[in-house]
Amino acid sequence: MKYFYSILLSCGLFACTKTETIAPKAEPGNRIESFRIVNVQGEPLEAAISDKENTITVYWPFYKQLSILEPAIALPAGATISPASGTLIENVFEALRTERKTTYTVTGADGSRREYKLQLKVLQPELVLKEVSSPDDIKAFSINMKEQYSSFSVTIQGSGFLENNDLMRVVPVDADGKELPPFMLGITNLGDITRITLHCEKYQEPYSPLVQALPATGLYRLRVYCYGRVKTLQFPIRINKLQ
Amino acid sequence: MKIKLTSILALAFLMACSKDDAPVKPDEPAGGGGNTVKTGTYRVVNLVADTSATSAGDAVSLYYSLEENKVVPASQRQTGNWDIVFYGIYNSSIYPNNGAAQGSPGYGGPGKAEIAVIVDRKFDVQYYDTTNFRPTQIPVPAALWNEAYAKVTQVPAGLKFVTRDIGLDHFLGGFDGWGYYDFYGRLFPGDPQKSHVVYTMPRVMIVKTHKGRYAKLMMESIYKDSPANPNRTNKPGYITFRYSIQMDGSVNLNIP
Amino acid sequence: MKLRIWILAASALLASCSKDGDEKPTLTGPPSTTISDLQADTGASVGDDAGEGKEKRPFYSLTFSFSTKQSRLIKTKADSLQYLKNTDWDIAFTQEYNSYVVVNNGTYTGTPGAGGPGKGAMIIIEKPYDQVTEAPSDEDFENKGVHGVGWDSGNGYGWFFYSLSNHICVPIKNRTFVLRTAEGKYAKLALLNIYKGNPPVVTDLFWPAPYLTFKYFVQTDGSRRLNTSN
Repeated sequence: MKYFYSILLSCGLFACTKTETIAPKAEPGNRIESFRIVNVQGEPLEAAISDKENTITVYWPFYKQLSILEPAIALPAGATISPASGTLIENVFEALRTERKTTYTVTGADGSRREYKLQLKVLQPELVLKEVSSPDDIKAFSINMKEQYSSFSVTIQGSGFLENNDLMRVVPVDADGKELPPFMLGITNLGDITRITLHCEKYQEPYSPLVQALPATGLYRLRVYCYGRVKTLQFPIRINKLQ
Repeated sequence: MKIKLTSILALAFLMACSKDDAPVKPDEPAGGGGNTVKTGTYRVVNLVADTSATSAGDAVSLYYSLEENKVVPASQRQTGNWDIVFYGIYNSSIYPNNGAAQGSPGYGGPGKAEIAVIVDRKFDVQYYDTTNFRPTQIPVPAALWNEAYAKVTQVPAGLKFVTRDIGLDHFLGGFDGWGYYDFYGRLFPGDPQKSHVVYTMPRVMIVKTHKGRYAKLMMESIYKDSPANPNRTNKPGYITFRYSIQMDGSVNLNIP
Repeated sequence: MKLRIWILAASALLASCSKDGDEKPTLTGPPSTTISDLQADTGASVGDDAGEGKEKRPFYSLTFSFSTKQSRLIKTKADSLQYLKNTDWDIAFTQEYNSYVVVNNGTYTGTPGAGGPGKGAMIIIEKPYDQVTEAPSDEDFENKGVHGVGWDSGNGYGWFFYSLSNHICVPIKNRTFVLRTAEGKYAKLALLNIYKGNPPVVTDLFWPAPYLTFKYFVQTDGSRRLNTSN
């Protein structure tokens, strides 16, 4: 009797549910297993891979102030990737500023290809800028090309600036929306992250790209690039170049 | 019997399900190039740092790999591809590549290098006032360089490594350095050509490279063609130094 | 009676509320001492063209006592012999532009206090002055202490940056120095400026200097407490 029930049970199991062994869908041979940024102190930064969107997203906090990224990329057996693992992602600030497009192409062992888009996302607080001019007070600055030495400075107050001048860039934007070459950033308030001082000076040739690009006069809105953030002042300043 | 079979089948099913193919180990980062030097002594002569350097400016930084005996682009300062950098006024601050050291050019990167300067006062008295921290004779006898260097046959036990720079000796600061900066030409009063001159001293430094190997290093000059008695007419921005690196990872620095 | 008390209480309550909703905590403790424009060796010069009234010679050290606020220029060998080996001074402003600030400690070779009875020490704290409320342990002074602070080459061991491209001393913000005075009491010190009038920004390298501006507090009861009201 005992045996009858157990036989019945097992028969039932086998009879009612046809157990098929379904192998899991084979992982594509042309995917990225992991993408890690290794040129950091402590644990590497793990990027998020999306095989649906075909993106590699690197997140990192702004205070790491990374100017270059070194990825270590893991792939399935037999796959290759271009650019290769270890190829440096240079000039991160420029990449953020210009929204530089980088594509990684994985070729699986079976020859199939997949292209991933790299996305750089720096986690950074807001950039807040205090206006230099106001609607009824447009501040004016001048460079006098006739003098042996001529310069002017503009201070922008706010918050969210970085201590590292290499990760900030301020340009004048003319009335047509065109950006002129950048200002020099002052070093006398290093570490003061509530202000940046812009310098423009004319001394000996060759003159700075900004001095060369300035026309006789113009109204310019100041645009501040600060690592992963950018903001443009609403009210312009006037810059005169006296020749 | 049948039940046992079920269990076996179930087990087999489970085993089949478990993913056994672990991901391929990532490639070694290609950045370094991989052409490391052999254990030995290397002399780097007139390395062009920043020949526009004058006392009126901070020189362009020069990043160097002792493991590969070559310059590394400044854009790679936050990588492990270099060991020391010649930084600041006259490239006189030698920082090790240490990513944890605030204020270091390598800050934020993976660097683990460290540096130390060996202070041997008994040796120093031959050319140096150990109370007031300045050379007693210029030029410092040339033989002292080889003597000081040869004396270091291994990393001294208990040597205190730091992650900050080794630079100008006691210059507006309390640290021993490799070079004496005569700000106003005090060693040669009345000679205006002798102010703002950096006199290299026969001091041996020990570098622990980013990869953990030891090297001894000695500066010879920051002026073109290493004049024995430099003055302001000599061109700074040309670095001459020698180093011996031990590639086996030990502290043995008895390297011919 | 009751109404009056109520009104008083109410006004006291209103008065105690911070006006602009500012969350800055009120600082409590004794006041700090600020020394403005302490004239150091303005007779010395480092340039080749010394200028009016200046000599091209090494700078005389200037000693300073926290308790008496007395300062003294050490000009001659006789001065050195007479005025240095004692605990009458706590810090000395030495070397070029009197910019290397050292403590009075008998064991510190090459400093004005060498060979004397001073027990001074200094440690660098990366915090704003009013956030430093306690002196670190003797062990910290031993391991992380410095003899003095001057030019910071970027390594964190100084009180000002100096770039030879503009020849300006830029004081480092939010850095405080915790000291032991010559007699071993705990103190905190902020070094603020080397230029006359303590201007926030200097662009003229010939601005009058050295005129030292600094702020300090000494805990005379011997404890490590360093909280101050300003």
